[in-house]
Amino acid sequence: MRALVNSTMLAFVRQAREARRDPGPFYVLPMLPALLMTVVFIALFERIATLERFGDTAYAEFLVPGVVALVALLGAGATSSSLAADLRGGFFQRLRLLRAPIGSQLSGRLLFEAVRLLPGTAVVLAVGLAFGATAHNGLAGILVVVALVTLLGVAFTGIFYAVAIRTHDPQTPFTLQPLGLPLSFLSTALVPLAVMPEWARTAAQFNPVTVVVDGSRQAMLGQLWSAELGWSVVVLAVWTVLGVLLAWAALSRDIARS
Amino acid sequence: MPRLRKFTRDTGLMFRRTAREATRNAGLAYVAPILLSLFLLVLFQGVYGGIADTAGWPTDAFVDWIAAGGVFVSVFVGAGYTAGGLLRDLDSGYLQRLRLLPVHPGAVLVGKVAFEAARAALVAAAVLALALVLGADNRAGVAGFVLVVGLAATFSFAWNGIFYVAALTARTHAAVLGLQPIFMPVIMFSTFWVPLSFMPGWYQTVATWNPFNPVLVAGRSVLLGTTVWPDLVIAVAVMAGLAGLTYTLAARRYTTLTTPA
Amino acid sequence: MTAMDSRADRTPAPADVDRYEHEAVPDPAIEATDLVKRYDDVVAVDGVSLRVPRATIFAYLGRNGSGKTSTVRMLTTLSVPSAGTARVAGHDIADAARVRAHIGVTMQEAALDPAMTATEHLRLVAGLSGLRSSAAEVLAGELLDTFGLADAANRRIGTFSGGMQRRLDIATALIGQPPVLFLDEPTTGLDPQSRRALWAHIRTLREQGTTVFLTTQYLEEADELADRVAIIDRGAIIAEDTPEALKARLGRTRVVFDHDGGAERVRAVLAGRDVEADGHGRSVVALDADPSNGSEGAQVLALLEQVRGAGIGIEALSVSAPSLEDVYLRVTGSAITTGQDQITDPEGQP
Repeated sequence: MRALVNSTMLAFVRQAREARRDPGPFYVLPMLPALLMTVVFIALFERIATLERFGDTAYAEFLVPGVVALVALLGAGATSSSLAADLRGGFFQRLRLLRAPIGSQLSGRLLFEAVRLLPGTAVVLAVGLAFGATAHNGLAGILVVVALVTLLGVAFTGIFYAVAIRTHDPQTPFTLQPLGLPLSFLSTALVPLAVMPEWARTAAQFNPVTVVVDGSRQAMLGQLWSAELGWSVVVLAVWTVLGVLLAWAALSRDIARS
Repeated sequence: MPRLRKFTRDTGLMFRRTAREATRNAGLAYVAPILLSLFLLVLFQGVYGGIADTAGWPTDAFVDWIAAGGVFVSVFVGAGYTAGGLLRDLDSGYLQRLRLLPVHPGAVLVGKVAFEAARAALVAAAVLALALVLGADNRAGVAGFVLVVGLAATFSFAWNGIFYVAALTARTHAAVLGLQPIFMPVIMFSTFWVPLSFMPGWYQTVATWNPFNPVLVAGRSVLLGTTVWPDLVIAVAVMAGLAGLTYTLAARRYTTLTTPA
Repeated sequence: MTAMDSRADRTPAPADVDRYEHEAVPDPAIEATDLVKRYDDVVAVDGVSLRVPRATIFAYLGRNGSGKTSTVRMLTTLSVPSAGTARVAGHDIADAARVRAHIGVTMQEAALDPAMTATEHLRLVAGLSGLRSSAAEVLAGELLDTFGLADAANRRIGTFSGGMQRRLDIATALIGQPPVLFLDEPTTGLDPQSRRALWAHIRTLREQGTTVFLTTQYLEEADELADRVAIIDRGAIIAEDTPEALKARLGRTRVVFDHDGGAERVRAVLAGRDVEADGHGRSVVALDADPSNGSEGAQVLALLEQVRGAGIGIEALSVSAPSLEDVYLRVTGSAITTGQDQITDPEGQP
């Protein structure tokens, strides 16, 4: 166990160093779509909140706790690229021969995946607050939102790792990124269910992102500790486990085939 | 004028070569831009379609408003395709080899640019047809359809000039790819999603002065049957200006690169 | 005291040593019995058995695709044999953790991350091997010294020349002072100078008691370096011995001479012998190393007598000793081709 913790930290530090040297793809690029959408959608679609079926929240207030999830969804998987590069170049074979459990190469990266989302999440929330969002539960609510977004990023990264392991190609995982679009749009991240047409509402009801952003919205606008938040945690836990299992299965298969 | 005839024929050959290459690469050249544009139309209709029910919205449905924008998105998303190909020809020595033949190097450039416009027309027509299936209006019938597709092809010609300048100046694929996302602010700060009246003041100012906006407005007005001729004239002027500037620079760089030192 | 000495003298703190005790490595250090590796319907390794004595250099010689790397991957626990067994450093390869604790490995492609500096790389691998960070730091510095990389310690690996990358790769494999070292084509792609420098390092390791198993497609390398050579072809070992014994048994002494007789006449006089014209007017005669024909010197003299006896004048003469190339040609029936003989590698170029 201690070996796992130590080697996870080493893998984390290595990844963090790579990101420090080349911050663009790790910190800056992933937050840009979410940041632009925050500003643009607040400005352009403000009036959608005048619809009776929207409810009585101002659009900026409604949007920000949801749109912030797009930091995790539209900029996902940055660390999968270096995982694929290790596998392709043979570095991973060397790591397999070391005493450290090989799973630490996944856990260390996954941990960094959570950390690297922090600045983007903070910037989007700050800009959102400047453009009219409110935090009824103060800093505590904001921290809960940040935690949910980073966990969402971790949960979503499993599939990127699986693809990186299957292909050994640093570019291929990024072809999954458009997957973030329906995940975020067909959820309650941008508008409430009541505003959507029937087909979109159906899709959103089955979208796990809906549960997560509902929890996030409650934490910022309603009760800090709500049932929605509880469900968010459950959904994120299951999603993370599934993602890690997927990546782990790919890795086991890769090792068995060598 | 036999020389002009030869040039036209060579250009045709280069056009066909580029087209063949694109057919083998259909995913990137045709399918991806069509699907991505369709994807955006569907998703935005699903999320923000409701805004058409608010007071003051100018069309029946949201999709009527964004259909024209979706057509232009397909042009933006596929941009740089042939400029990248030209770069490959430079790197691989294909242009050097061509110099040994009695072919004017300009035929390669013109052939590629012409194909870029043709590809855009094809993709734009597909997206527009899909938008109509989704329920978008086209009040001007076949003539309107042709006019919008023609506008998209012309715009593609002008917009790709930027990519040719970048490809020939920086001579790296990264430079061409890196320019791709500049279309995002261009679209975001236009009337792509909502009319000026729905925007806050600062946004209105930006969108009004956005040089892409007249092109968008012209295309949309054709589909809505309210063709705004002044916007169409401004659109043509904007595109002519952009094309004139970029292709003058690109041609100059290209001549330097293909003339023996 | 050289840096290499200081490393050998270093007494690691108890926590640095691997948790499996560093018991003495038995002799032979590597012993494989009937190893087989199948990938789908391809048999990459087809019943390989071999023994590598402790503290020797063993060269595993074969062309691309002959089964060299597949054997190494099994012996290093990176892949599981389809059949057969092996013991490495006294442990069954089925017990991967124990074997791994006793071996160092370099693979054909340098297993390095180009984005890291050399120091960062060594410290990471040392840390993942279980060394405390302070010990890892000291060890990294020593290894960089030993392999002449101290000046490049804080440069990105991506800027290293091929030779520097190879050296760093081998330095990495030495973390944990493994008693058994596997080097898969360590000098492929290196210029002659870097290759010789690497050979010197490998010899030093043997002097310190390390057992080295190296694969190569360079006959000259095997000849220079190895205590024993095995030739693998189509997945099976077809010859194995010391280089000297192989050459004595399967090599051929070549006699080359200039003469005034014309190639056809020489060939006629020496009917029954292996005679070739070399294209410069000289004839080349290969002598079998067959003891029943008398000693090598006696054979050469007898040959020359035969030629002169026929009235052909001999003007210049050279005799070349047998090489592993003859041996390889003889046992496999074709020459080894490395495919990349002409690679230059300007040392230290960023």
